[in-house]
Amino acid sequence: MTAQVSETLIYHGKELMMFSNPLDPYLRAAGLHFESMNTANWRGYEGTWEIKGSEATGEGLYLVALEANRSFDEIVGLAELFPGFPDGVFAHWFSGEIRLPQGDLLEYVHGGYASQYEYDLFLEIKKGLLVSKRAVHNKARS
Amino acid sequence: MSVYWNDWVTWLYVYLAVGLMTALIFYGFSLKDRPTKFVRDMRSALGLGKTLKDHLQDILVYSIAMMVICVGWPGFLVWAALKKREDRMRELEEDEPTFICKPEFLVRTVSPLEAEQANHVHDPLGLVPKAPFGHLNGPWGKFLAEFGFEDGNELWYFEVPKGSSTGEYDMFDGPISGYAKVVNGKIMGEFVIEGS
Repeated sequence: MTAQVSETLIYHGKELMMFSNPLDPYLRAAGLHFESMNTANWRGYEGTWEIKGSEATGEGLYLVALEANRSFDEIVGLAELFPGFPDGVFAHWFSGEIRLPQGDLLEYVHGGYASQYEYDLFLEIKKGLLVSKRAVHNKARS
Repeated sequence: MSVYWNDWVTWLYVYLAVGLMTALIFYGFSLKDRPTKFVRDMRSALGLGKTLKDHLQDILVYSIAMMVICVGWPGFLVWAALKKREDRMRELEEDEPTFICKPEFLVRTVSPLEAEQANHVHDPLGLVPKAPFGHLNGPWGKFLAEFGFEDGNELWYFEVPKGSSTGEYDMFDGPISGYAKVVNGKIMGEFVIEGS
């Protein structure tokens, strides 16, 4: 399996790689799937996400942009998949940890999201809401 | 020519004749699994064709197998019947859809109305549709439309705890929750509202 192109997360104004696919549970529930155009993107789409909100209202995970291959010659975006939500789609269907690798690449692995970076920031999401975060300092595997 | 049915040798011949017929039937089935002429020609062209030794070996193996079946045909018939039954069961198992929800994850029965009342989504920016299940309202409607409210059909809330794995090849990790259609104790459909 080839290493997979990551999703993108905007967090505190920074664009970060995201080694998780929070859109997948929605696609499974809705019975949707996209066409893969190359082996580096088996899921057939690339999404941009953002953590939005404040401490007072709570922070949530929102899908803010999407490029997905409905077929080999038809690319759809957020407006086609979620008409009427140009400011973002709250990912209330997602619960789990999202992984945000940061720093230097320690080890490239030619498969999935298995490459290892200097740090991993994990955000724990519960029904779309950010509930906690933790960071892990990685060491190169010998 | 008269047949002596009281003679055990006659019965031995009958037994062996049935055995021979059984062996020929097994041989016929084995021919069905042979590579096609195209494949045999391809293998010959690649230098992987059968040698004289291979042919002699085949004749020897088939002859021994035929003799063994002639003698022990009742056992072979029982074995063939059991194997066919096992293959059929495996086919049925493979055809069955696999669900994330397993019986041990079922929590309680609910009515569709209760499910909808428990699933109004509120988000920090107030962007989610004001409908049950938010952006999943459409898929929920489809799930209900296919549910079929006949007697015996039950709607269950289910939860896969964090740290549990489920689904085909255990590829989904909890926490996962949703609603399952249960008919006579068997899970027949599911609607996942939360997962990763």
